[in-house]
Amino acid sequence: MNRFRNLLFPLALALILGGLSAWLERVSEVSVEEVKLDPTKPQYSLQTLHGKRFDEQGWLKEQITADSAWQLPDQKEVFLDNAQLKIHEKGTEQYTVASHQARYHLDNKTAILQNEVVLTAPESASRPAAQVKTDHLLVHTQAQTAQTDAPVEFTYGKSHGSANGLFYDHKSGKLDLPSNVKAIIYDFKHKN
Amino acid sequence: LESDRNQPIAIEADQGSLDQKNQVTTFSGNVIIKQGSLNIRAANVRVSQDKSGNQTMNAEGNPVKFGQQLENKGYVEGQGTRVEYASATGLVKLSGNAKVQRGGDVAVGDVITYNMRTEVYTVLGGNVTGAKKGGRVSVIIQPTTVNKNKK
Repeated sequence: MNRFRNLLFPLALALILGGLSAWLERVSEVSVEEVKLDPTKPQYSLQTLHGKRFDEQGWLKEQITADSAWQLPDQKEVFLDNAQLKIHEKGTEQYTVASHQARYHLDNKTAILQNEVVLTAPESASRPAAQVKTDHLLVHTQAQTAQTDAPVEFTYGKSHGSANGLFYDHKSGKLDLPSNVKAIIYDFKHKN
Repeated sequence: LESDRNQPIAIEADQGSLDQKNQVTTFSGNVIIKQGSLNIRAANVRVSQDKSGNQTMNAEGNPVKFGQQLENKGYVEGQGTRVEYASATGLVKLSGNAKVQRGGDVAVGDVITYNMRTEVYTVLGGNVTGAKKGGRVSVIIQPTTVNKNKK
């Protein structure tokens, strides 16, 4: 989700429309005073968010859904409830990340997911389906990496296991488990 | 046991990493591997898998220790600073103060190759590449009668 243009579009739209109507309303008045918004209350919020983004060839690239999304005044983070992000390549789903809470930083392009985070990658010709569950996860959307220091549970085809912490680099296809690794490995080919 | 090969592999380690693209899995720190009756303890283990699913395992340790239940011939134990196993051939190669023991039979040498399918092991003394004059091979085979009493 290099840039949440689809996410920004509605937010930007809301801002522009909000600004435009405020401007039209005020154009007849003499002075324009700036109203300081309550920093604890969302500047705007959206319910039932569906967003899609396509690549230059028109392939579906990113798809986001969330129950709600909001942004606080003068803040660079967008908060999402029950968000799910699907990453596609040439129309094929690469992986999906979902959690109950998420915060996306518009500048850093990072997402912090919390509360039942589930990362899934569907089976492909070269590898079985994979899934990782943890409590919280930091996703760098541009670098396409995901990391946590919380306990994780993972499945890889029939194989499964657990560890403390994880670092996953999607571009290189590398998964590092820094401590306390336990795994039961089934041979993917023999499917025993 | 012959059935060991079809069992899942249970692994415990301090660290682990999976390289999906190259199909290489690495475990390090107090590595314990169990597959059926086979068990291996090592400092580091690297398992790679080729396109046809054949797996190669390289284990290092001080020493690496392994043990396996044989088909009605007792239990074999082995050790060496390096152990290599290839699933395609069923060959286990121990090197570096290699030792294999089954009951009262003991074999010691620089390199011991153990065929898990034929249960035959070959002991080589000295540096296999012949760079230095070979060390001695030591093999102790208990007489069968003594073995029968031991079982």
